[in-house]
Amino acid sequence: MNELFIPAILPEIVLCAAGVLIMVAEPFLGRHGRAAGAVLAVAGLAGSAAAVLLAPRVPVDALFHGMVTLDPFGAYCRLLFAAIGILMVLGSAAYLRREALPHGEFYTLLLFATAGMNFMVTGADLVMTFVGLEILSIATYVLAGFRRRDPRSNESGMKYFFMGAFSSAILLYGIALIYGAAGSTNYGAVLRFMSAFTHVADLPLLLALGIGLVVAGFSFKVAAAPFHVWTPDVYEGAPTPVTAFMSVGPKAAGFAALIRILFQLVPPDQPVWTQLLLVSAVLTMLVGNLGAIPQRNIKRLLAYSSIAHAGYLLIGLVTASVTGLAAMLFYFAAYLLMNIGAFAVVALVSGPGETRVAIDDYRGLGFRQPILSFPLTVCLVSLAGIPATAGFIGKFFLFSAAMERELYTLVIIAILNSLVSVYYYLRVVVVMFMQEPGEAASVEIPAAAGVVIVTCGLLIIALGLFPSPLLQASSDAILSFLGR
Amino acid sequence: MPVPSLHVLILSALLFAIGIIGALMRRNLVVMFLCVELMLNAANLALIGFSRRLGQLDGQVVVFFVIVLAAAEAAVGLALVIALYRSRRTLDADQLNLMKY
Repeated sequence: MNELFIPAILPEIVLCAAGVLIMVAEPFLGRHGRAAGAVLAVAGLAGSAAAVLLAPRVPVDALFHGMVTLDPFGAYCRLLFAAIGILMVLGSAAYLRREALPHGEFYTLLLFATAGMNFMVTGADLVMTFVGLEILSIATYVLAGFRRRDPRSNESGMKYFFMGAFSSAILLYGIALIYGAAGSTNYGAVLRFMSAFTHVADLPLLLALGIGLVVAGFSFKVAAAPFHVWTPDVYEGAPTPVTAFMSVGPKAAGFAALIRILFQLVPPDQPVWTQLLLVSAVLTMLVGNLGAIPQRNIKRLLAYSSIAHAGYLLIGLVTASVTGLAAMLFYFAAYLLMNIGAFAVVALVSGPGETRVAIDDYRGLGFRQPILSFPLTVCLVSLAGIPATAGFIGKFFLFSAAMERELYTLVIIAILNSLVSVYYYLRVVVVMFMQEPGEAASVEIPAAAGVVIVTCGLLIIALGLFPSPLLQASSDAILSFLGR
Repeated sequence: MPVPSLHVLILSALLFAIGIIGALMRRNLVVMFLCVELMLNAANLALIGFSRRLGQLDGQVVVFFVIVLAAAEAAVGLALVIALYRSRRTLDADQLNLMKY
């Protein structure tokens, strides 16, 4: 195959072109600009998904001089990112109008961030992964501080920027050390270099340190303990649709990049990192679930819940098995539906200026606003991992993969954590259905946001009842590089 | 006499350590940001040092990518600093405590 094989990066080209087009076109469209921007953004994201589907299915290790790969794993993740983007555009249009925020910039940044995530999962070289991460991060810093006259959003953007830049620097130093030890930043070349060592203890110190720093850098991005402290503040202060995006997009992309690094750059028979990730998984679950219990702000509650879910996902990395990693990919899809659905409801209920974000503001929403309350209940129940939802299936396969590896203590801790989480998720449901209505019970539901909320709710139940097609796709994606 | 590559790497490690300590200890947002830039440039120096020791140019090419990214990051970071200063009239990290439960 030709080295410069355009279809391999066509999805990203489409995304960037659509992003630039929105920016250029918006000033000329006047008052039609908002709708046109949203339509262009959805078209760009759908176009990138189509480009992924039309690309050849044969895995190719290195194109563009060893910079990107073309494989089912990358395709699966890129399709998920396109889905996140489309749900985000539809769900946030009404929010942007209500808060009088610029539409064009928002969609453009969203498309650029999606292109960055795509490069993170298709990169075959540490430099490519790093560039993708930075494209994603820089766009997300701006999005977090998007309500620039709101001090909370300023603070959120600043904190996210600082933690992001700090973690990028750590990651880059790790890349420099790996380069110094292995003489290359290419995944394949580093793998060949490392395969020469039969024992973990024989690895050059620089290389071990480098991989440690890279893993630490990504742990910041996915909000894994002990690098999670920024999460609650940033999630609470950012505009709600942006919080939804930050909790699913960068997290999934960070985990996908970690999967690639830990299994394509490090030889699979040298699990140097397992013990560290195991400790981090346990800590992350505990911090997330215990931190969520006293929360009275729903965005902060979901922020702690997102930390807890990073912990569950880490279990998949610890198992280092096809089942565990496939369960992670399945969980990405389930998690994106649950979080985007829940945050879409939060964005509507919060009202102008995001003043109603306390759990008590959900009083009596239950039967007054069934279109909001029932999907939100489904999302929360699924986050808690109750059967007949996608969240249950994801957790079930993650935990059973850990059972296969005989990590019984880890499974017991994870199940106990899930039980704790039922308490704080159901508290919101109880407030919605069992208390007298407050003022939030009379919010208007814009059509597009309503469609997103209902779709998320229905898909969560559909995936909970018929998970096999997606499970099949996710294990195919993992086998595409673990089987080789 | 040319500088030995090892000295370059030791300098880079020192700069990185100074950057981390500064980023964690200082309380002024602009100084904290400078410390992060110091960390990035320590990584650049390490890449160049390794590149020379290995006798290849790959590491130096990476540095160009990093410089571009750091410039973009600095633009966004300083814009955020300005927006924050306009609304809060302070750049003290300890005052960024609007959100607590």
